[in-house]
Amino acid sequence: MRALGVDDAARALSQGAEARVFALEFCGRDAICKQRFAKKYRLPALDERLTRARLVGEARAIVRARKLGVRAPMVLHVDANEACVYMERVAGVALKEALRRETCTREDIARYGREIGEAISKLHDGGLVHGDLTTSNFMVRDDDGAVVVIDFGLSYPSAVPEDKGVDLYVLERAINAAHPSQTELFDEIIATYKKTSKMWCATLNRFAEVRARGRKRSMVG
Amino acid sequence: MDARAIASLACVELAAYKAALACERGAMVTRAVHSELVFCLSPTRHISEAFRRFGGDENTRALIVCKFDANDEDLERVRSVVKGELVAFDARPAVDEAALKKWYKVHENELEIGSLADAVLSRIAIRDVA
Repeated sequence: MRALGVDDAARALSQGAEARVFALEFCGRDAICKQRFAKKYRLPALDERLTRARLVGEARAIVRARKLGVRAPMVLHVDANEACVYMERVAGVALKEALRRETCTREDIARYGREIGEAISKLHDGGLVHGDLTTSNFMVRDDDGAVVVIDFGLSYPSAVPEDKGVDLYVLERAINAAHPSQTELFDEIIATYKKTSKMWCATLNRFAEVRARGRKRSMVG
Repeated sequence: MDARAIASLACVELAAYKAALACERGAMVTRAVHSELVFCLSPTRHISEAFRRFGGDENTRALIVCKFDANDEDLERVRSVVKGELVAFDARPAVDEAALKKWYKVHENELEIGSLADAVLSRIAIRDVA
């Protein structure tokens, strides 16, 4: 048996700025492997530490999200040596694709909105901020149509309304930019968030503030 | 291993994978690859606790035996050493769900989105980074 980082049968699925994603079979099930690669421009010692910290952070965040009852892919294995996280492969399409299908009805949008609103409120109430909420980071599962949250690479634990407000703001921007004719999705998300989150008031107040000023806080003065 | 403490076959496979990997890299915590497997099943890094909970002893009523690179001879020896009847994995006695929930700290929230076996698998997966 080889210490597989990524074995030969692995198929590359996508590549981002931080990591490559491969499809493979792991312990008899369909899985993906997300491998972070070294950044040549960083000091090697620092690079190693950052990569490892992010790897570990991501794996923890996913399991924490699952503990909070949020649908997220199961972590199967974390290989610190190879900087890989192995995860269950969610069979389905990105929400982005699902929304662009012609068969996507208003009822579908409303249901996605409710599920996403509930998922985000569970994460936020549990003190976890996703950090990269976009319609590409939700998947619609094939077998039951449920919305699954993916990519916790930028996720971090936080209980501060500011961070949660920014989280929602990022999602609003993403939806407005990618699906300008379907912004009712975000309205539904906020409506559900308000109903399900116990701390909706502080978060939504802050959200309004963030919306007025943009994602970054002005540090002038 | 005590079959009542094993949530699913996937858990054993994952623990075996981790044990084999640790063995190959010379990063084993216990002395042998087979004991490493039992250790890998545990959600904690407490070796004797892992053996107490997951290992089989003379009082174990249902036993799962794992052997790396097993040949017919090995299997024959296992059959002669274990006093009992060989059954299919799925025909094993019910797992001790209450104990598993306690050991792996699984709460109701998580069971709404997946099975207990899935939750246990996640815990085994992230033990070393949690």
